[in-house]
Amino acid sequence: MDDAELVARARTGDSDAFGTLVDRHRAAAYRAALAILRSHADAEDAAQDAFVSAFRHLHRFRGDSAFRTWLLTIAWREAINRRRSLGRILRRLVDRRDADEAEELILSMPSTERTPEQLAADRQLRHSIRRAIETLTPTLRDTLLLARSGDFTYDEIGAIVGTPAGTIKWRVSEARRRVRQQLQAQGYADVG
Amino acid sequence: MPMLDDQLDLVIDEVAREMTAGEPHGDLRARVMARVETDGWHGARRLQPSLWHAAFAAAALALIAVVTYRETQSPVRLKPPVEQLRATVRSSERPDTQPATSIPTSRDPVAPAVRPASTSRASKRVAIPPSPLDALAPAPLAVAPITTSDLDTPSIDLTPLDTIPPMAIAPLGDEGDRR
Repeated sequence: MDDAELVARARTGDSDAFGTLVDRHRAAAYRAALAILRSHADAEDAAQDAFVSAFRHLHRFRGDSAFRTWLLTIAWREAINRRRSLGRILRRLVDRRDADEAEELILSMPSTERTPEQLAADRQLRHSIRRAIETLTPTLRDTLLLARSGDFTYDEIGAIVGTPAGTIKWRVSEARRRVRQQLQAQGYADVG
Repeated sequence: MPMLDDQLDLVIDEVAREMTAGEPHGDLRARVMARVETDGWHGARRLQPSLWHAAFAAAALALIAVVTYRETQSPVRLKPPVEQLRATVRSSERPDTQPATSIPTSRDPVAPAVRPASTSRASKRVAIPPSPLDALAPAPLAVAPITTSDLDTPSIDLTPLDTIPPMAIAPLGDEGDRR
Protein backbone atom coordinates (compact mmCIF):
# COMPACT_ATOMS: atom_id res chain seq x y z
CA MET A 1 0.00 0.00 0.00
CA ASP A 2 1.49 3.37 -0.95
CA ASP A 3 1.62 6.51 1.16
CA ALA A 4 -1.34 8.17 -0.55
CA GLU A 5 -3.60 5.26 0.35
CA LEU A 6 -2.33 5.20 3.92
CA VAL A 7 -2.95 8.93 4.24
CA ALA A 8 -6.49 8.51 2.92
CA ARG A 9 -7.14 5.76 5.43
CA ALA A 10 -5.59 7.74 8.28
CA ARG A 11 -7.94 10.59 7.50
CA THR A 12 -10.91 8.33 7.99
CA GLY A 13 -9.69 7.30 11.43
CA ASP A 14 -7.53 4.27 10.63
CA SER A 15 -4.86 4.48 13.32
CA ASP A 16 -2.95 1.50 11.94
CA ALA A 17 -2.55 3.33 8.64
CA PHE A 18 -0.97 6.32 10.37
CA GLY A 19 1.19 3.97 12.44
CA THR A 20 2.45 2.39 9.23
CA LEU A 21 3.38 5.84 7.93
CA VAL A 22 5.32 6.46 11.13
CA ASP A 23 7.21 3.21 10.78
CA ARG A 24 7.93 3.85 7.14
CA HIS A 25 9.41 7.34 7.57
CA ARG A 26 10.69 7.40 11.12
CA ALA A 27 14.34 6.96 10.14
CA ALA A 28 14.24 9.69 7.49
CA ALA A 29 12.49 12.14 9.84
CA TYR A 30 14.97 11.31 12.58
CA ARG A 31 18.02 11.83 10.37
CA ALA A 32 16.67 15.07 8.96
CA ALA A 33 16.33 16.32 12.52
CA LEU A 34 19.72 14.93 13.48
CA ALA A 35 21.38 16.83 10.65
CA ILE A 36 20.10 20.05 12.19
CA LEU A 37 20.37 19.28 15.88
CA ARG A 38 23.27 16.77 16.00
CA SER A 39 21.92 15.39 19.23
CA HIS A 40 20.23 12.01 19.23
CA ALA A 41 17.88 12.87 22.09
CA ASP A 42 16.79 16.14 20.49
CA ALA A 43 16.39 14.47 17.10
CA GLU A 44 14.13 11.82 18.65
CA ASP A 45 11.95 14.48 20.24
CA ALA A 46 11.84 16.53 17.05
CA ALA A 47 10.87 13.50 14.96
CA GLN A 48 8.15 12.60 17.42
CA ASP A 49 6.78 16.16 17.41
CA ALA A 50 6.92 16.17 13.62
CA PHE A 51 4.74 13.07 13.37
CA VAL A 52 2.24 14.42 15.88
CA SER A 53 2.13 17.73 14.03
CA ALA A 54 1.68 15.91 10.72
CA PHE A 55 -1.24 13.99 12.21
CA ARG A 56 -2.86 17.18 13.49
CA HIS A 57 -2.57 18.82 10.10
CA LEU A 58 -3.33 15.81 7.99
CA HIS A 59 -6.44 17.57 6.67
CA ARG A 60 -4.18 20.23 5.15
CA PHE A 61 -2.11 17.78 3.14
CA ARG A 62 -3.42 18.16 -0.38
CA GLY A 63 -1.11 15.69 -2.07
CA ASP A 64 0.73 18.29 -4.16
CA SER A 65 3.97 16.67 -3.03
CA ALA A 66 4.79 13.24 -1.68
CA PHE A 67 3.76 12.60 1.91
CA ARG A 68 7.39 11.86 2.75
CA THR A 69 8.51 15.28 1.48
CA TRP A 70 5.67 16.99 3.36
CA LEU A 71 6.57 15.13 6.55
CA LEU A 72 10.30 15.84 6.22
CA THR A 73 9.52 19.54 5.75
CA ILE A 74 7.66 19.48 9.05
CA ALA A 75 10.54 17.61 10.71
CA TRP A 76 12.99 20.12 9.27
CA ARG A 77 11.07 23.10 10.63
CA GLU A 78 10.60 21.41 13.98
CA ALA A 79 14.35 20.85 14.23
CA ILE A 80 15.13 24.44 13.19
CA ASN A 81 12.79 25.76 15.87
CA ARG A 82 14.40 23.53 18.46
CA ARG A 83 17.87 24.69 17.51
CA ARG A 84 16.80 28.26 18.20
CA SER A 85 15.65 27.49 21.71
CA LEU A 86 17.99 28.40 24.53
CA GLY A 87 17.35 25.18 26.40
CA ARG A 88 18.60 23.15 23.51
CA ILE A 89 21.81 25.19 23.32
CA LEU A 90 22.47 24.48 26.98
CA ARG A 91 21.80 20.76 26.57
CA ARG A 92 24.09 20.65 23.59
CA LEU A 93 27.05 21.56 25.78
CA VAL A 94 26.49 18.30 27.64
CA ASP A 95 25.78 16.24 24.53
CA ARG A 96 28.93 17.54 22.88
CA ARG A 97 31.04 15.94 25.56
CA ASP A 98 29.18 12.64 25.11
CA ALA A 99 29.69 12.76 21.34
CA ASP A 100 33.39 13.41 21.73
CA GLU A 101 33.72 10.46 24.08
CA ALA A 102 31.88 8.21 21.62
CA GLU A 103 34.14 9.37 18.80
CA GLU A 104 37.20 8.69 20.90
CA LEU A 105 35.96 5.18 21.60
CA ILE A 106 35.29 4.37 17.93
CA LEU A 107 38.56 5.75 16.68
CA SER A 108 40.60 4.03 19.38
CA MET A 109 39.38 0.58 18.43
CA PRO A 110 42.35 -1.58 17.35
CA SER A 111 42.73 -2.66 13.73
CA THR A 112 44.97 -5.42 12.43
CA GLU A 113 45.31 -3.87 8.96
CA ARG A 114 46.74 -0.48 9.85
CA THR A 115 49.74 0.62 11.78
CA PRO A 116 49.29 2.61 14.96
CA GLU A 117 50.74 5.65 13.19
CA GLN A 118 48.20 5.39 10.37
CA LEU A 119 45.37 4.97 12.83
CA ALA A 120 46.47 8.01 14.78
CA ALA A 121 46.72 10.12 11.62
CA ASP A 122 43.31 8.99 10.41
CA ARG A 123 41.79 9.70 13.79
CA GLN A 124 43.27 13.17 13.85
CA LEU A 125 42.06 13.89 10.30
CA ARG A 126 38.48 12.88 11.06
CA HIS A 127 38.51 14.89 14.21
CA SER A 128 39.66 17.95 12.26
CA ILE A 129 36.99 17.42 9.58
CA ARG A 130 34.29 17.16 12.19
CA ARG A 131 35.50 20.35 13.81
CA ALA A 132 35.62 22.09 10.41
CA ILE A 133 32.06 21.00 9.61
CA GLU A 134 30.93 22.29 12.99
CA THR A 135 32.30 25.73 12.19
CA LEU A 136 30.45 26.04 8.87
CA THR A 137 27.50 28.39 8.61
CA PRO A 138 24.23 26.67 9.53
CA THR A 139 22.99 26.84 5.93
CA LEU A 140 26.05 25.08 4.50
CA ARG A 141 26.41 22.64 7.37
CA ASP A 142 22.74 21.57 7.34
CA THR A 143 22.79 21.04 3.59
CA LEU A 144 26.03 19.05 3.66
CA LEU A 145 24.83 16.78 6.46
CA LEU A 146 21.43 16.26 4.84
CA ALA A 147 23.00 15.47 1.48
CA ARG A 148 25.54 13.08 2.94
CA SER A 149 23.17 11.28 5.29
CA GLY A 150 22.29 9.03 2.36
CA ASP A 151 18.55 9.40 2.85
CA PHE A 152 17.74 12.37 0.64
CA THR A 153 18.25 13.36 -2.97
CA TYR A 154 19.13 16.90 -3.98
CA ASP A 155 15.61 17.42 -5.29
CA GLU A 156 14.16 16.21 -2.03
CA ILE A 157 16.40 18.44 0.05
CA GLY A 158 15.45 21.35 -2.20
CA ALA A 159 11.75 20.66 -1.59
CA ILE A 160 12.27 20.34 2.16
CA VAL A 161 14.32 23.51 2.49
CA GLY A 162 12.39 25.42 -0.16
CA THR A 163 15.42 26.02 -2.38
CA PRO A 164 16.19 24.92 -5.97
CA ALA A 165 18.14 21.69 -6.29
CA GLY A 166 20.93 23.56 -8.10
CA THR A 167 21.43 25.77 -5.07
CA ILE A 168 21.59 22.68 -2.87
CA LYS A 169 24.35 21.24 -5.05
CA TRP A 170 26.28 24.48 -4.86
CA ARG A 171 25.95 24.58 -1.07
CA VAL A 172 27.31 21.05 -0.74
CA SER A 173 30.22 21.92 -2.99
CA GLU A 174 30.89 25.14 -1.14
CA ALA A 175 30.71 23.38 2.23
CA ARG A 176 33.32 20.87 1.11
CA ARG A 177 35.56 23.61 -0.24
CA ARG A 178 35.48 25.49 3.05
CA VAL A 179 36.25 22.35 5.01
CA ARG A 180 39.21 21.66 2.73
CA GLN A 181 40.34 25.23 3.21
CA GLN A 182 40.45 24.74 6.94
CA LEU A 183 42.26 21.45 6.56
CA GLN A 184 44.79 23.06 4.25
CA ALA A 185 45.71 25.44 7.00
CA GLN A 186 46.50 22.36 9.09
CA GLY A 187 48.59 20.78 6.31
CA TYR A 188 46.10 18.14 5.17
CA ALA A 189 45.04 19.25 1.71
CA ASP A 190 45.87 20.95 -1.54
CA VAL A 191 42.89 23.22 -2.04
CA GLY A 192 42.18 23.80 -5.71
CA MET B 1 51.82 14.12 2.56
CA PRO B 2 48.90 16.31 1.41
CA MET B 3 45.79 14.54 0.09
CA LEU B 4 44.07 15.23 -3.22
CA ASP B 5 40.81 17.11 -3.13
CA ASP B 6 38.81 14.10 -4.33
CA GLN B 7 40.32 11.90 -1.67
CA LEU B 8 39.62 14.47 0.95
CA ASP B 9 36.03 14.92 -0.25
CA LEU B 10 35.47 11.21 0.26
CA VAL B 11 36.61 11.49 3.84
CA ILE B 12 34.49 14.62 4.36
CA ASP B 13 31.42 12.80 3.06
CA GLU B 14 32.18 9.84 5.26
CA VAL B 15 32.49 11.99 8.37
CA ALA B 16 29.29 13.87 7.47
CA ARG B 17 27.47 10.53 7.12
CA GLU B 18 28.76 9.45 10.51
CA MET B 19 27.45 12.66 12.02
CA THR B 20 23.92 11.83 10.88
CA ALA B 21 24.11 8.08 11.44
CA GLY B 22 21.73 6.43 13.82
CA GLU B 23 18.27 5.08 14.21
CA PRO B 24 15.43 6.33 16.37
CA HIS B 25 14.32 4.15 19.23
CA GLY B 26 11.96 1.36 18.36
CA ASP B 27 9.18 2.82 20.51
CA LEU B 28 8.88 5.98 18.43
CA ARG B 29 5.68 4.71 16.82
CA ALA B 30 4.20 3.82 20.20
CA ARG B 31 5.01 7.26 21.60
CA VAL B 32 3.58 9.04 18.58
CA MET B 33 0.40 6.97 18.65
CA ALA B 34 0.01 7.55 22.39
CA ARG B 35 0.12 11.30 21.86
CA VAL B 36 -2.21 11.06 18.90
CA GLU B 37 -4.71 9.07 20.95
CA THR B 38 -4.46 11.62 23.76
CA ASP B 39 -5.38 14.37 21.34
CA GLY B 40 -8.27 12.35 20.03
CA TRP B 41 -8.18 10.53 16.76
CA HIS B 42 -10.55 12.92 15.13
CA GLY B 43 -8.10 15.73 15.71
CA ALA B 44 -6.94 15.19 12.15
CA ARG B 45 -10.26 16.47 10.95
CA ARG B 46 -10.57 19.33 13.39
CA LEU B 47 -12.22 22.48 12.25
CA GLN B 48 -9.81 25.15 11.25
CA PRO B 49 -9.37 28.05 13.71
CA SER B 50 -11.15 30.46 11.39
CA LEU B 51 -14.22 28.24 11.42
CA TRP B 52 -14.15 28.15 15.19
CA HIS B 53 -14.00 31.92 15.31
CA ALA B 54 -16.94 32.19 12.94
CA ALA B 55 -18.94 29.72 15.02
CA PHE B 56 -18.23 31.65 18.22
CA ALA B 57 -19.19 34.93 16.56
CA ALA B 58 -22.46 33.46 15.28
CA ALA B 59 -23.29 32.05 18.71
CA ALA B 60 -22.55 35.40 20.37
CA LEU B 61 -24.76 37.24 17.87
CA ALA B 62 -27.61 34.80 18.41
CA LEU B 63 -27.33 35.23 22.17
CA ILE B 64 -27.37 39.03 21.88
CA ALA B 65 -30.39 38.85 19.58
CA VAL B 66 -32.34 36.67 22.01
CA VAL B 67 -31.54 38.88 24.98
CA THR B 68 -32.45 42.03 23.06
CA TYR B 69 -35.73 40.51 21.90
CA ARG B 70 -36.75 39.49 25.40
CA GLU B 71 -35.74 42.89 26.73
CA THR B 72 -37.94 44.76 24.26
CA GLN B 73 -40.91 42.40 24.30
CA SER B 74 -41.40 41.81 28.03
CA PRO B 75 -39.37 44.20 30.12
CA VAL B 76 -41.56 43.64 33.20
CA ARG B 77 -40.84 39.92 33.21
CA LEU B 78 -37.17 40.53 33.63
CA LYS B 79 -37.56 42.27 36.97
CA PRO B 80 -40.91 41.40 38.53
CA PRO B 81 -39.77 40.99 42.13
CA VAL B 82 -38.37 44.51 42.30
CA GLU B 83 -41.47 46.10 40.80
CA GLN B 84 -43.77 44.05 42.99
CA LEU B 85 -41.83 45.03 46.06
CA ARG B 86 -42.11 48.67 45.16
CA ALA B 87 -45.85 48.35 44.63
CA THR B 88 -46.28 46.59 47.96
CA VAL B 89 -44.33 49.24 49.84
CA ARG B 90 -46.23 52.08 48.15
CA SER B 91 -49.62 50.59 48.91
CA SER B 92 -48.73 49.88 52.54
CA GLU B 93 -47.18 53.21 53.34
CA ARG B 94 -49.84 55.42 51.75
CA PRO B 95 -52.46 55.41 54.58
CA ASP B 96 -50.01 55.14 57.48
CA THR B 97 -47.23 57.47 56.60
CA GLN B 98 -49.43 60.49 56.05
CA PRO B 99 -48.24 62.99 58.64
CA ALA B 100 -50.83 64.20 61.09
CA THR B 101 -49.96 67.78 60.45
CA SER B 102 -49.22 67.67 56.82
CA ILE B 103 -48.18 70.85 55.13
CA PRO B 104 -49.97 71.40 51.87
CA THR B 105 -47.56 71.66 48.96
CA SER B 106 -47.91 72.46 45.36
CA ARG B 107 -47.45 68.76 44.52
CA ASP B 108 -50.58 67.64 46.26
CA PRO B 109 -52.94 68.55 43.48
CA VAL B 110 -50.80 66.51 41.11
CA ALA B 111 -50.45 63.51 43.32
CA PRO B 112 -53.94 62.11 42.84
CA ALA B 113 -53.33 62.18 39.10
CA VAL B 114 -50.11 60.23 39.43
CA ARG B 115 -51.33 57.61 41.84
CA PRO B 116 -53.95 56.13 39.58
CA ALA B 117 -51.25 55.69 36.97
CA SER B 118 -49.12 53.64 39.30
CA THR B 119 -52.16 51.72 40.36
CA SER B 120 -52.93 50.87 36.78
CA ARG B 121 -49.39 49.61 36.33
CA ALA B 122 -49.78 47.49 39.40
CA SER B 123 -52.97 46.06 38.02
CA LYS B 124 -51.12 45.00 34.91
CA ARG B 125 -48.66 43.10 37.05
CA VAL B 126 -51.42 41.03 38.53
CA ALA B 127 -51.37 38.95 35.37
CA ILE B 128 -47.76 37.97 35.96
CA PRO B 129 -47.40 34.52 37.49
CA PRO B 130 -45.92 34.62 40.98
CA SER B 131 -42.22 34.21 41.09
CA PRO B 132 -40.42 32.12 43.71
CA LEU B 133 -38.43 35.23 44.48
CA ASP B 134 -41.58 36.85 45.87
CA ALA B 135 -41.09 34.85 49.03
CA LEU B 136 -37.94 36.86 49.62
CA ALA B 137 -39.87 40.13 49.68
CA PRO B 138 -39.86 41.79 53.14
CA ALA B 139 -43.10 42.24 55.04
CA PRO B 140 -44.69 45.69 54.84
CA LEU B 141 -43.27 48.09 57.39
CA ALA B 142 -45.58 49.36 60.13
CA VAL B 143 -44.45 52.90 60.77
CA ALA B 144 -46.09 55.02 63.44
CA PRO B 145 -47.29 58.46 62.31
CA ILE B 146 -45.06 61.36 63.14
CA THR B 147 -46.61 63.75 65.66
CA THR B 148 -45.38 67.25 66.45
CA SER B 149 -46.15 69.39 69.50
CA ASP B 150 -46.37 73.19 69.60
CA LEU B 151 -43.19 74.99 70.56
CA ASP B 152 -43.25 76.75 73.94
CA THR B 153 -41.33 79.97 73.30
CA PRO B 154 -41.32 83.06 75.59
CA SER B 155 -42.80 86.25 74.12
CA ILE B 156 -40.45 89.12 73.37
CA ASP B 157 -41.26 92.52 74.88
CA LEU B 158 -40.63 95.38 72.52
CA THR B 159 -40.40 99.04 73.54
CA PRO B 160 -42.37 101.39 71.24
CA LEU B 161 -40.30 103.58 68.96
CA ASP B 162 -40.22 107.38 69.32
CA THR B 163 -42.63 109.12 66.98
CA ILE B 164 -41.10 111.32 64.29
CA PRO B 165 -42.51 114.84 64.03
CA PRO B 166 -43.95 115.72 60.61
CA MET B 167 -41.77 117.77 58.23
CA ALA B 168 -43.07 120.70 56.16
CA ILE B 169 -41.81 120.58 52.58
CA ALA B 170 -42.39 123.47 50.20
CA PRO B 171 -43.59 122.49 46.70
CA LEU B 172 -41.13 123.05 43.78
CA GLY B 173 -41.71 125.87 41.29
CA ASP B 174 -42.15 125.62 37.47
CA GLU B 175 -38.42 126.24 36.92
CA GLY B 176 -37.45 123.30 39.01
CA ASP B 177 -39.91 121.05 37.15
CA ARG B 178 -38.24 121.74 33.81
CA ARG B 179 -34.88 120.52 35.14
